[in-house]
This record gives sequence, structure tokens and C-alpha cells, in this order.
Amino acid sequence: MSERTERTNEAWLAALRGETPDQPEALEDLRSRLQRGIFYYLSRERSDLAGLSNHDVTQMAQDMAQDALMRVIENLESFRGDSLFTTWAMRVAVRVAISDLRRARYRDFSLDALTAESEPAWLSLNPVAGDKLPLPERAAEQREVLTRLQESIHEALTDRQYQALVAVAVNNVPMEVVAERMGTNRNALYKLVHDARRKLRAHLESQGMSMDYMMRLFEDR
Amino acid sequence: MDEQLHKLIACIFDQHADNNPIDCETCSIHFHRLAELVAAGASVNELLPEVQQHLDCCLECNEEFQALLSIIVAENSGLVASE
Repeated sequence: MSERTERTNEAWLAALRGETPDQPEALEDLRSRLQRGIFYYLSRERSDLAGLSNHDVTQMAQDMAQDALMRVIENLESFRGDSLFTTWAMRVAVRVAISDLRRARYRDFSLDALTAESEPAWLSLNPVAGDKLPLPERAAEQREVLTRLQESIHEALTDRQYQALVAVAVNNVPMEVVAERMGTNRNALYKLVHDARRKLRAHLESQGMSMDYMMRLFEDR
Repeated sequence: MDEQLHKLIACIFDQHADNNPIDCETCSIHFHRLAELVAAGASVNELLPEVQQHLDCCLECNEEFQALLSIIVAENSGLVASE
């Protein structure tokens, strides 16, 4: 059945709320539609899942679509009618699917382990393989700037800000994964990282350090 | 340069993010409407520049919007198999 052309937004809502007799059919139509959309995304847009069999991807899409359907039903009242209902529902499904993938990928991730080192390797002067070794004067300047960067981090940031910044900005760990580990939500974490970044920048700029200067200094490191 | 150090410096001095007035939730509530309009040829930046700014500096929101957009475009093109 072509749900998109055969049901208006109002008809979807009435059916899913159980106000019309076709609630079971509407639930199945929506679940099926979400599954097809998720399957398309997983199979065509996710190169990281290319090694999975068609059966495995289908199973993933089924599970995600079922979860998404429940989420849609729970949040029906937040649909404002500013798009096709099915597009809004697909937005919910995409969030469910991508969240599941992120959580699975970072299942064993430890925020504490990531930020346990007081002087992480990336804040020390270890030449990357293939890099030219800097002249002694330049190496000394790099060491001094790294020391000031470390001091700024310790002086300007709280432990939570440091953890958030290192995980999200330095290691690209998804915010919802970090937020979960920190007992907060993605929005609050976004603000935490934003504030951390601004505080650190102000601290560094007050010492005369700019991005151009730092980037140039470490260019050939 | 160490990649992680590069990311940290770029992040600290990212002026672009400073001017971004919206957070992830505020950004994502526009996705369904925007996805339909963008699939029809519109530009996010012209419709809602603050959302484009957020997408430019938030990898996760961008990933979610692009995913939704890809599905809507595929549906419109008949590429999403019907059962």
C-alpha cells in the first residue's frame, strides 16, 4: 500500500490514536515504511556496515523500526503538522537507528580511561612518524606552548568540562554516548563543550596565543 | 602535527561555533520540514541559516539530517523498495 498518498496527516493521526477502525493496519503500514527507510539507509548510505549480510541488515532494520514505531506513538502529540506525517516519523526513526549504531560502536568506551592521563600523549612533544624534527629553538617553543596549553586546561576548565572537551572535540566520540556516560543529555553536553571551548580560548588569548600562531608552530611537528 | 592536538586547537578557536545560536534539539526539530524542502531543491542556508551553521559544526546533527534527507530523496525517487 502506498501510505504516503493514501493517508493524510489527519488520517494517520486518527488511525494511530485508535480513533478510526484501521489502527492495526496503520501501525503495520508505518512500521513497514520506517523499516524500508532504515534498511535503505543502512544498506546504501553506511559503508561501515558493508560487511554485514543482507539478512543481518534486514534484522537490524526490523528491530530499529519496531523501536522507532514505539517512539513515534509515544510522541504523536508533538507532531505539529509542518511536514508529511511520514517524514516526521522517519526523522524519529533515523534518530533511533543512528543512536543504536553509535551506542553499539562505543559499547566498550570508557570516558574515565580516555581522560585518566594527567598528561595525554597528544599534549606532549612526540614527533609523528614521518614528520621532520624541529630545530632545537622551535622544539623549545613548542614545549613551552604545550605546557601553557596544559596549564590553561587545568586552570580554566572543570573536570567535567575537560572530560567533555577531550571526548567530543579531540576524540570525536558521539555526544550522546558521552552524555550517557556523564549522566547528562546531548543538549547539556553541547553547552558544556561550548563553554569549555570559550573559556579555554579566552585563557589562551589572554596570554597572547592565537590559532594561527599555534597551528604554524606545530605545522611541521 | 598530531591529529588530536590539531583538533583541539581548531576546536578552541572555532569562531564559527561562537556565532551559532542554536543547540542540537532546537536544530533537529526542523529536520523533517527541511528535508522535504531540500529534497525539492531548496537550500538549508537560505531557509534557516542558523540550522546550516549548526550543521556545519555539529557532526552528529549533520549525520542525522543527511540520513533523513537521503531517505526522503530515495523515497521520492522510488528507490526505497515497497513491500
